Amino acid sequence: MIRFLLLQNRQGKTRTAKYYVPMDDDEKHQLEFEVHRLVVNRDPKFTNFAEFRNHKIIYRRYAGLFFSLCVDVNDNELALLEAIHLFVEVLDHYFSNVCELDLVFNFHKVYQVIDEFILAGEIQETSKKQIMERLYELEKIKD
Amino acid sequence: MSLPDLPSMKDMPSLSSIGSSAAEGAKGVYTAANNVKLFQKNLRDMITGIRAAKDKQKDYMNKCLQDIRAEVVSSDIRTKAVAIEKATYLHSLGYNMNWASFHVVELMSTDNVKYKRVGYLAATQSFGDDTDVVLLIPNLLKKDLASPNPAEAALAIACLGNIVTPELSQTLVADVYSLLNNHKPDLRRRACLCLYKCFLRYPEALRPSFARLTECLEDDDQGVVQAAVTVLSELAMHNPKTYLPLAPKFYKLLTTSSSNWMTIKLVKVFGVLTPLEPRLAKKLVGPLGEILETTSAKSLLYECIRTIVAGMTSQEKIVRQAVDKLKDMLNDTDPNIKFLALHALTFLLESHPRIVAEHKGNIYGCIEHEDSNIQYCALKIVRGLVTKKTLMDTTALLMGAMGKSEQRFRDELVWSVIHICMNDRYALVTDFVWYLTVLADLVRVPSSSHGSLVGDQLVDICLRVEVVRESAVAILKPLLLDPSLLERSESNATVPEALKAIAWIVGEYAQYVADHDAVIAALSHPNVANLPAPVQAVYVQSLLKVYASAVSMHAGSVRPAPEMPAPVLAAHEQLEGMYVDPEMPKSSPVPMTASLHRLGEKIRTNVAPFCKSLHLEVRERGCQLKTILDMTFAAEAETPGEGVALMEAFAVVLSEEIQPVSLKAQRKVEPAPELLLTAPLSKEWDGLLLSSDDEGSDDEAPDRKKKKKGKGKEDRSVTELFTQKKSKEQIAREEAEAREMLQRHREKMGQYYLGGEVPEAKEKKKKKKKGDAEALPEPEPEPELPLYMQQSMAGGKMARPTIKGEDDSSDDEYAPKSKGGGSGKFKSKIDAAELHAGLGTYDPLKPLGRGEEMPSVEAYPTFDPYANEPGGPPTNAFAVGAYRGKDKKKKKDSKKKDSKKDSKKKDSKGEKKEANNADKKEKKAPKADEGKVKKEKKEKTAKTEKKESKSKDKKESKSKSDKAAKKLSKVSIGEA
Repeated sequence: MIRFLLLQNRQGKTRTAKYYVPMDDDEKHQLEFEVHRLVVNRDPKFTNFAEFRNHKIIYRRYAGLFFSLCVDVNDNELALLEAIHLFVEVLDHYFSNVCELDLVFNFHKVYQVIDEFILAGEIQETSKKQIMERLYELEKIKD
Repeated sequence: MSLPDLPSMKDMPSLSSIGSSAAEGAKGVYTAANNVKLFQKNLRDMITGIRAAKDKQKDYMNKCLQDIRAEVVSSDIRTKAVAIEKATYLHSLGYNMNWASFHVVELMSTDNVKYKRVGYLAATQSFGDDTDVVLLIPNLLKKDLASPNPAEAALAIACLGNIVTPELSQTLVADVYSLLNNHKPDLRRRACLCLYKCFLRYPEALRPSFARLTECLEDDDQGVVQAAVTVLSELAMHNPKTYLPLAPKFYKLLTTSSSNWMTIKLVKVFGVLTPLEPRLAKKLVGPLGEILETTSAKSLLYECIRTIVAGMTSQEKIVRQAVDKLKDMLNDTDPNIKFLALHALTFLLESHPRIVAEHKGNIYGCIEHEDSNIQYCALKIVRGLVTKKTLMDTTALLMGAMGKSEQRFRDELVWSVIHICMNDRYALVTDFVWYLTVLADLVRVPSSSHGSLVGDQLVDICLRVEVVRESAVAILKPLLLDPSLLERSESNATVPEALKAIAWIVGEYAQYVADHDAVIAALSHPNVANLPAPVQAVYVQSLLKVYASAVSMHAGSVRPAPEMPAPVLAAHEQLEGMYVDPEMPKSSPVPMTASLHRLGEKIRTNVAPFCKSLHLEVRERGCQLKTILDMTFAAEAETPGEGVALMEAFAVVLSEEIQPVSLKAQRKVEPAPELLLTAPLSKEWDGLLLSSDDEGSDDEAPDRKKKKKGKGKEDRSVTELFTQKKSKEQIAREEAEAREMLQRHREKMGQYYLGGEVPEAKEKKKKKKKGDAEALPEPEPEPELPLYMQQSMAGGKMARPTIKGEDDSSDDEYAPKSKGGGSGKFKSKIDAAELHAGLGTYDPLKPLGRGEEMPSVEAYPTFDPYANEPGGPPTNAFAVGAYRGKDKKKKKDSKKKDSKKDSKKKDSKGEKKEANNADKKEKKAPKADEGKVKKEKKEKTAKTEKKESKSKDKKESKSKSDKAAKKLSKVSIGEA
């Protein structure tokens, strides 16, 4: 189960944070700080996994952004790395060539994408095409 | 500021009334409301503004927050939505938005999906278990879950999946459950996933919904099947035994699945099921073998391998196949793949060490990999693979790796080397001299944090393995002589701990020291003062030992041969004889040589600073040493040979060997036959025995009080005996007796006593407390042993050198030490086990009991979750007549608040408005009541015991929801 998902830049600013377990704000901030410190110091040549408290962080860096997932220890690391990549692909497609500012100004849309992709801590849809279709559908409703 | 897309003319009339109703009542809001705002910053403006206001971001954001507070109370839904969106953004930057939670709920309840989405996003992000408005949203969510618009239902599910609380789950799980039958596969899938979260927070829901959940495994839509597999695999992960009966279904899916994601989940489930059911392993060989051969997805491949190594180790063929794949993975350039391959190999260490050993070369290489995950994992395997034969090579490898690795891993390496060797009572070590050299090298490892561990090992080896002592002194001497180790620096942080052991060993086995001058110079080096006090103390003590040994060696060499075997046993008498009768005839006095004299003088001068040390122990030992030397030289000056004899006597005493003593040694001592443990100690205590015997019958007697009253003096209760006041005389006498007894004991068992008066002091304390220790046979004092001695005592003969204590009882082993250096486990709220704890007790496969079925879901709005509540007002916050003025106290409160605001604004209309409101409510209330009565009748017939208990729970939460209702009423007042 995914416990939380974080998008952070190199400076440690959290761009997107989605928590699937109950936590209060203070604890969330503490986590964000710790996770950033953990991933930012890792060399690109290192593995993309790190122990974190009683769980593990699977992270991947895209340009200046770190995509981190906190998952249970027995979850499949490679599958989750693929999931992160899929998520980035969807973002890229949705914002057509995504950059950090897209995520800042459209933060609500990012959450929308996440909701179509992950639900209640589990990956619900693994087809990029399906997710995109669904997102376009939602766009239509909006306008 | 750009012109927003929202015209704000409509806002004007409503804004005027905000001042009186805003719950926050903050002055900022108040003024902002007066200055009618024509323009509203939209989200983009605000974000641009924040980014532009580089230095004054905080001020800018605070200002934005103020604006938002004013805007959020607007009756125009668009203004409100933009405000909430902005607040959500600020929340993501760390600003609290609990104050807005009520407006969020309002926004969630609008009909327009566009605004509803904003509300839901804000709720998902900012609501937590302790948000009080959560009590207001069950009906809202209920309505949206059942909404014909799938987008709304999806929103509600996603939100519920994030913010679900036990209460929400209890109220809404039935609605989510009913979505499993929705004709839209998309919603079925979402509902399925959301159910898992509901189970986590409200485990009772698992059993009634389980049957339907398993049916989802046969759904027409692959997405739903995948979701069901996901949920069931999560459930099975934490409680695999219960889900074993589902194995055939999983198996069928595994053979037919076309989605890798789902196959991964299925293989993972089998990973926890196969250890419980060996027959499954046999069955899985086929499908897993096929996947291993055909799949191109590394993730799936890895999952298969993990399942194989975790639970199917009995199937040699497939293990081979998996290991072949692992070989490729080990050679992969991607560190992730490499790490996972190593990780999988660690599972095989127990069952197939040989197969793992085949990849030794590769694994050894990984120890020097730049990533610490890989290093640690490889090290773990190396530790597991070590045998007697490979011990030296492996150690050499690990020692070699220390030079290249960074600090933390180096520590881990040091720890590993020591633990490989010391494990299982040095089972792997055959050559202890070699081990000593390894330990000596480990002392020099810079910035090591294991100095004390190395020290303990050194002492332990020297104590237990007699034959290595001579070599030990030779090996360790260079360390003692090395002045660089005495320097106080970061890299020497724990070296003193090891030096302490080394100094002790060199002192204790000083008879093996060849070069006394150098050793004494090293022990009394001025830089010794840099060391911690306990280490200095050991150094000073060792000085005496080494000097005494030097003198006695000299004397021994000069003296004629026959006297060489000194009667060690007579050591005590000899020493006592020295003091009692200094004129005791000596065999043949040996005068001190000039060099020994020089040496003693050197110690005397060097030890002087220690005599002024601030540390008591060091100072005391320094002064002692100085006095002894003074005495020796004085005696020597008087009669040549006298001082040498004195020193020799010291040497004999000091050379008495310390033996390792087992913790259990005490148990092996037979009690003396004249010791009567059961005989009464004195007549005075007969009463004590009597009353304690009577206690059982005392308890049974119904008229205990009376009995107690009538009790004679002789059968006083135990407590009385203990609390009674004693005369001073008596106490003094008891104390004197105890002291005397202690003295006697001390004489007898002197060797077990350490210096100082500690045991006696303890005894005194005990006495004062209880006053009953009199004449009780003293428990033999636990010999105070250093840790390394706590093992064992007798020695066993083996091919390798005798290790004292090796064959001692098996159960006082080294306690399994937790890994050194590892960070303390953080007790986190997000612990999986904790979240999952409730679910374990529910076996979903057992037939349902009475009252366990899922409550039926009625269409909104006839459902009233509070209908069961006897006599209470409908607290359904979203029913129109929810709030009636019944609770007078509360109304008063709200009136007070209102009147405060009124007085501020001096609005005379305020009260009238409120009165109007109350009227309106009362008109609506009867309607609601009618509905409620009908409902109650209906419900009563269907009511089960379970529901009753539920209603009790709700009663408790009533007070909370009352509060929320109060809040609601305030706003409705404002809007009227």
